[in-house]
Amino acid sequence: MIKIRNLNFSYNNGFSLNNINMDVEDGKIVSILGPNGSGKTTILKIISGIITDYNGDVFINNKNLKKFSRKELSKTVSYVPQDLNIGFDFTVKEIISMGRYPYLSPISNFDKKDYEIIEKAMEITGTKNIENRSIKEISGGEKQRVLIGRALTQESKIILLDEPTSNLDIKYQLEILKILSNLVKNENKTVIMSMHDINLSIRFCDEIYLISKGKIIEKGPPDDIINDKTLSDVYNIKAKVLRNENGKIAYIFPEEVNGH
Amino acid sequence: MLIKNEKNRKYFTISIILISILSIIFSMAIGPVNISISEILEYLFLLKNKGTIGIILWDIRIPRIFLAFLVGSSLASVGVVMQSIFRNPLADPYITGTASGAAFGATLAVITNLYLISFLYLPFFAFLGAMFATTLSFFISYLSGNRRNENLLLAGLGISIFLSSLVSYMMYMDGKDLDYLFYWLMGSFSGAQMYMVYTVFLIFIPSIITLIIFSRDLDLFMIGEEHAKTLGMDVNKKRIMFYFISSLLTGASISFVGIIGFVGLIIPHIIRIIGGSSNRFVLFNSIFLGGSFMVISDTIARSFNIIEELPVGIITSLIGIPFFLYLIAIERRYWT
Repeated sequence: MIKIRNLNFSYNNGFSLNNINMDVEDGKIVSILGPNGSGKTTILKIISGIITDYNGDVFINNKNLKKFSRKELSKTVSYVPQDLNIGFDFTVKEIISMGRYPYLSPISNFDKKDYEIIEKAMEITGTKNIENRSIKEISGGEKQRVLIGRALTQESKIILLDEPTSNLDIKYQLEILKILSNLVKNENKTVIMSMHDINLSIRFCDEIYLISKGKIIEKGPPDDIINDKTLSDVYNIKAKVLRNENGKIAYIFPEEVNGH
Repeated sequence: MLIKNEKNRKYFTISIILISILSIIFSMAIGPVNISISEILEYLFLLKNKGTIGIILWDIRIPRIFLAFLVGSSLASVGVVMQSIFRNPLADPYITGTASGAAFGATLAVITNLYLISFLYLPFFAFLGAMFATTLSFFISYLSGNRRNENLLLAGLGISIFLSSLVSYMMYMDGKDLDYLFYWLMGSFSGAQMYMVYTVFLIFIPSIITLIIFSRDLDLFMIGEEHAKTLGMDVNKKRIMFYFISSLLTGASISFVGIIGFVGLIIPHIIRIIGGSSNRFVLFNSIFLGGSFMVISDTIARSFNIIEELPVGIITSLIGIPFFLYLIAIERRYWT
């Protein structure tokens, strides 16, 4: 469980997060939506321990984030960045195995249990057939699956993802989201991700945080909080929200930019 | 990556080790006085050190070959470390300023005559100089607010050239002859002595063991700092540790033989092309390939007996620079 209370943080360039409060229960899949530069990634980087000089409190399973050691945190929270930009040749399997780092002492090597975990991660993410390929020669969608595989070998309950579906074509987007929702269902993981695609978010997420200029505008189940007004407030656009007979959102249709 | 299978990587490593042993034995045979392989084996395994052959072998060739091997291994290993922590395949102790810093430190020990009190002042000052130059180049690129590879390497290169010039200046002012300066800037094993071998060896063994043990951390540096942090690595602590060991190895190597460029660049790169970037593999193989490459280069250098033997740095650079240019031309994808 993640509890965030009065979180504030500012970059040197003037951007800041203002008084962020979040409650994410175990076994949920949650997305943070908002325009570019609204602070989505920053929140993820704080929870994952990349940014440490924030104000306010973050609790993970009722323990303050600042009390976690690096290794302990990496066994609890894994972070899947948008991309892996690397000029060096590693095989897919080598990258996925790196998730075992916090569990190994420097002198120990992978044992049978480690290999089982690595195999399982490759199976779940469908990367077994490319395990010996170089990370430099695989597609964006495959890279994303490899990074999710690495998060799985970390055996962390919480997985954070920074725009896991950006830069992917629609088939890969669906594939990735399918993997994530299965992880929540079958492996009891908690997933928090930043996203751009409102429609996919609505379809796959239990809860959405709408964020703009470092502030949370609205939070709750997608059907309750996504409407003309919130979309206009957050994205500054006019959008049509098409609903089914039962009131659930079927599709968001962006019409035009406000004021045009 | 040519070999992706772990078993074949093992065979590759075994053949590299065999090549190392063969290069050492053949180098013992080659020189103004040719010694046959059977004689070498006889003198080595029976520890015979009498007669002309015994003296040539034990007093001249073995110190020189062992020192060359250790220095080649050290520089190649430092190359592996630097390329990993700077995430740049073009980093090596020469380009990052570490080597020039070491030469600067050692030169200080020479012109202040401290080295006459104890020869250990040489490696110690070289270590301090290496540490200073590496930290300085990191600090300067850090000040620029941009810790990207390019700035770090440019800063390192600047410091490297500046310190090399300072070394030349100090040598001129101190009235050392040009041969001596030449020796410092191009590197040579012609003054190799057994005490140098022991000194470098004592620093080499613990440093290399530490590097192999922590080679997984180098992998994490390679994929990036944010990745490394979220995988539970203490990035700053590890960086300092790797700087420290790199400076130790570079200092120890350079204090006795001068600056030898490009070994740290080409050796790890060859290994990576063959077996990928996993650092335990790269490091282990670079140790042996770096060592034997240096032994072979030095054998070529001392066989060039036209007037005087060549500084070994000329040989390693003559092989290294074309390779470096090839890298720039072919491996553009490395600059992300």
